[in-house]
Amino acid sequence: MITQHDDKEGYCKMLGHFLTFNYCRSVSNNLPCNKVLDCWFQHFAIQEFIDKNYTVEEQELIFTPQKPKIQSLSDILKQAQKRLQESKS
Amino acid sequence: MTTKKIVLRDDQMPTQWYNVGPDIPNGLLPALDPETKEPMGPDKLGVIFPMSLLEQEMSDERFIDIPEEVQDVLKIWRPSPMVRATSLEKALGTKSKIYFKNEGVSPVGSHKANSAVPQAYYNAKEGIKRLATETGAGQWGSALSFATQKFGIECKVYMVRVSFDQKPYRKSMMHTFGAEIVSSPSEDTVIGRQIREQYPDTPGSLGIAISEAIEDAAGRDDTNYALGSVLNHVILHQSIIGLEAKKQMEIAGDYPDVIIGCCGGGSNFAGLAVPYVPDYLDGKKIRFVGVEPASCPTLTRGKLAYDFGDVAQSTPLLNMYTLGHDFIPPGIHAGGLRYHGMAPIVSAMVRENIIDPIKVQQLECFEAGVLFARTEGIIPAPETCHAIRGAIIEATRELDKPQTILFNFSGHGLIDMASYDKYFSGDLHNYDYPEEAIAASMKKLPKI
Repeated sequence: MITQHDDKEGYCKMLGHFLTFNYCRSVSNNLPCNKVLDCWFQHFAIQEFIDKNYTVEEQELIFTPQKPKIQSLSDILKQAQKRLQESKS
Repeated sequence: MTTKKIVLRDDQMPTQWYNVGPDIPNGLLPALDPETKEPMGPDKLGVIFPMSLLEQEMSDERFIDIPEEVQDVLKIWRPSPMVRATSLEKALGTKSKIYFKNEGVSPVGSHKANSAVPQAYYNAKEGIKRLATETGAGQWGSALSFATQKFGIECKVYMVRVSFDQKPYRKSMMHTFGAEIVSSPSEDTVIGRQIREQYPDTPGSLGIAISEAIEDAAGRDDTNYALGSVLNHVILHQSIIGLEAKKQMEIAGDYPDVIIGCCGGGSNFAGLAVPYVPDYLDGKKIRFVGVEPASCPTLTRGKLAYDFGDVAQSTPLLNMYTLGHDFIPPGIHAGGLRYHGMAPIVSAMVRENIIDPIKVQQLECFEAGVLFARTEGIIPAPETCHAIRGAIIEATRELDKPQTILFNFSGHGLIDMASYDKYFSGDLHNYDYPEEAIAASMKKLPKI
């Protein structure tokens, strides 16, 4: 069952506070955070959980490096400018 | 009688920041464009940053004047006190002298305000009326909220929805300083609306919040973006910590044998350490100890690589010590220690063997934090506990060889008591990232 670990609590270094696993497995367009293995590997069999609940294609999406971190400014800026342009036209 | 606090007068506050870049042997390597792999100039980011900050980012001047308007605001809490941790020394039974620079006295309780203030100033000076930024738990957001209102400009903070819901006191602090805080994703940006439409119940993420803040800045001529760590100009602003400390140590009639700070993005450690680098290069015997979490051993076990600075592989390539762009360390308890890449300045100092990085476990850090609170009376922020742990290690290493230790008390933990509750309830554990995981991550470094 995909919700079996949802109430487990871990510390999110990105945000700076505790979260339940429910957040970590759904944060990225209803897919897990790409850091999910690193953050949870000492809590339970996270790799097994991922293999059981997500297809290979989904896993590729999950672990494809996602946007962004603080310094990806140049790329994020380009994307934002493109979005703004499109929304005006 | 031992002097407990060394306090400088307002007129003794430094009037220039120190830029360590020109003094680092073999220099800093430039940021590279991810597409062309060529050095990246500041012009590309001119849409969202003021030129003054971009110039500071690239400056080869050793000293840069602190504008009087910035000094006036910094004087609300600066010069910050240097304190001799006599009670901690006694509790440890050490003959070493332990000094700490207390950055927890700032209006927002941490060193973050040291850079937020000049960033707000330079933006205001260049005609910017608003700053947009993102925040998770809220440390940087509250620092920028404070700083912007001092210069009469607005501040818009995109706070990740799950943090917005869980961290009410940081939100209250930002509100009190006059910032507009929205839960991210918001209805205020194209990307926010798109995500809300597609995923109405999304709890948000830092990535979404950054995208919203940058879109906000890119879409309005009166708005820029601000960030609070890693970049050279941030470390420049933080150098005021060490510049004051040098004066205070002189008044104390001491000189540090070892300087200690916690290393996240590197700005608070570098802020204390860099003003001492010229002395070190002149032959003064001094050690710089950067303390990092054992579960995120960026400096201790990483290697120097010309790596991407973020998981999106889209950032300018920065010369950093890193475990690889897809390395994300296990969750540990220090909100400020969340960069997998270290500031280029700090990385260069490690490369030149100026910094001696050590790793510490989180339980020992909290143990150190609790001892500090019970002896010195100040509750440290979780990341500050790392520096305290480092100081304790140094002070008790060789009891017959006492040292003079100086560490950066980067912030208090009064808004993070939930972390202490976790510690006391036994919910925290030590982690040590497996060597094989790091090795696997290192294999994915981009080839230059």
